[in-house]
Order: sequence, then C-alpha cells, then structure tokens
Amino acid sequence: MKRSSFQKPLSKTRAQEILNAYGADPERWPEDERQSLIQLLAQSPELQALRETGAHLDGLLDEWQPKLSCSTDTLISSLPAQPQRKQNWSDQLAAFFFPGYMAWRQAMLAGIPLMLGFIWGLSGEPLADDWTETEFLIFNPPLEVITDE
Amino acid sequence: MDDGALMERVSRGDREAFTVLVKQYAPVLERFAIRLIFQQHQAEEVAQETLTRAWLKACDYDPKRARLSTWLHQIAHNLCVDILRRQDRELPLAHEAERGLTAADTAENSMSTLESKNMIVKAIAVLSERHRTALVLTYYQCLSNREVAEIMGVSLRALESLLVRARQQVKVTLEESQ
Repeated sequence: MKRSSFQKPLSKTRAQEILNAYGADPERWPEDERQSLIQLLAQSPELQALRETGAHLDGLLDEWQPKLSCSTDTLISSLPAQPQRKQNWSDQLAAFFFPGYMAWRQAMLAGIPLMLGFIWGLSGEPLADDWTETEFLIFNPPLEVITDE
Repeated sequence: MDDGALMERVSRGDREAFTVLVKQYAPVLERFAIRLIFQQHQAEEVAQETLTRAWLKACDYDPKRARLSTWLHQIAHNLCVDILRRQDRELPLAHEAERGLTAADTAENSMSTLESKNMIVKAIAVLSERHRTALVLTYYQCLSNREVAEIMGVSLRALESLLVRARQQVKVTLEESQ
C-alpha cells in the first residue's frame, strides 16, 4: 500500500485528538501527521503533559502479553485439498464450445514444437550443398520436356 | 519473500510456503484472538481456522488491495465476532479473562504483577466488542490506522472515536479498581 510522505499542518485540537486516540508512541500515530505532531509537541508543554498521561496507560497495556499454545504441526499435516484454480475467460470460453478442450490442451501444447519443426523442414532450403551426383539426380530429377513431335 | 509471491506459491498447493505462512502468522493471530475472546482454546481454533481459510482461498488474495497481515486479521476478526455473537458472552468475559490468565500466569509472576495484569485484562474485557477490537488491533497488532479501519469497515474518524472512548473507559475502570 502506498503511504503519503506529505505532512499535514496540525492544529492543537487535532494533536490532542491523536494523543487521546493513539497514545504516546509515535509509531502508532497516523503517518501523514507524525512529523508535524512531533514538532508541535516540542513547543507545547500542555501537549507534553497529555502525552505523559498517554504513556502511563500505554505502559499498563504493555503488561498484558498472553501465553500461547498454538500447535501448528497438526494444522500443516491435516490440510484439506485445495479447490481447483479458477479458469481465465479464454479457457472458460473454449471449454464451453469444446467440452473436451481442457483434456486435449496439454497434448496440443506439446505438439506445437513438432508442428513448427515440420513446417520449417518443408519450407526451408537444403542445408548442405555437397551432394553426390547420384543424390542430386534422385532428389532433383531432370524435367522432361514434352513436345508435340 | 513478499506477500504476493508467498500467497501465489500457497495458491499452487506449496506446503513449504504454507509452513512459512503458519510460522509467521499463527502466533500473531492467536494473540489477537485471545485478546478479543479471552479463551485460549478457542483462540487457538481461530488462528488455525484463519490459516486453513488462507490455504483454501489463497487464489482470492490480491496484494494490490491489502497487506497479507490485514487480510488475515480480517478473517480472524470475523471468526472472533461470530464466536462472541454466538455465545453472547460479552458480560461474563471479565470472569473468563481472569480465570484464563490466572491459570496460565500464576507460576511465573509475583502476586503484585499478577494483580496488575488482571486489572488490565478485566478493564479490556468490559469494553464492547467494537471498542476492544479497535484498541487491540491498533495497540497490540502493529497495524496502521488505515489497516485497522479497513479491517473493521469504518472510517478513520470513526476509528479514532472508538479508540478515544476505549482508552478513556480502560483508564476509568483501572482507577475504579485501585
């Protein structure tokens, strides 16, 4: 999530609201008002006193750190099967018109390199020019000219 | 590994990635649930159910919309609210909280520390579910105010009102019990 680094100018009333809501620790203050509040605090003994009151309550709240018993091994070993991932729109469309499409998809994908190789082989020029005369005659027979005579 | 990459692996059924997710978030989520429902056993179930849902719905996670931590807290929060509504036990929570805490902590703490802890726990337990959630998410779960507002489905102003009221009430309850 993007956070703004813009610091809003702060009134004393707003500073009091922040201290009353979030307590004394700057980490909990709204990010876009933090620097302004720190600057305002340096100039106002009234706000400093309010912050000290907040710090006392923060200290009391800090005392409650519950003990945990979370055993995660059972959770990991007994996971249910995940549902199938959602198909994108093109797959859904293809599956609608061709019900067996998904089953054939992988075979079709695997066949693509084979088809490309076949097409390339048919359309390409011969790679070698060191044929023997016999090979040349076999693969390039002389055209017979048919005349009416 | 960032949130998006981790969840992409989890969505492909990668158990190793899921183990990383569990190790990182199970303690965070269990602590969150304990602080909302005050019952160790149910809190553990909430953490496990949240992570199981993350495993099953990993495809739905969009890192552009929320941090993983926010997404998981949102699931856990909904589960906790369901438990609280089902049992309608906001009032007996203070007793439940005291019982659970005493059993777990007596061995490790002096009586004065324990009393002080009990007072804090009770003061939080008597808050309404909304006030408690706002306080716990902002104070203990290290989430930003925007993330907390998103999890609770409220505006920033409404969140701040909840926080001011929650802190005031905790303070008053602590003063009364001293």
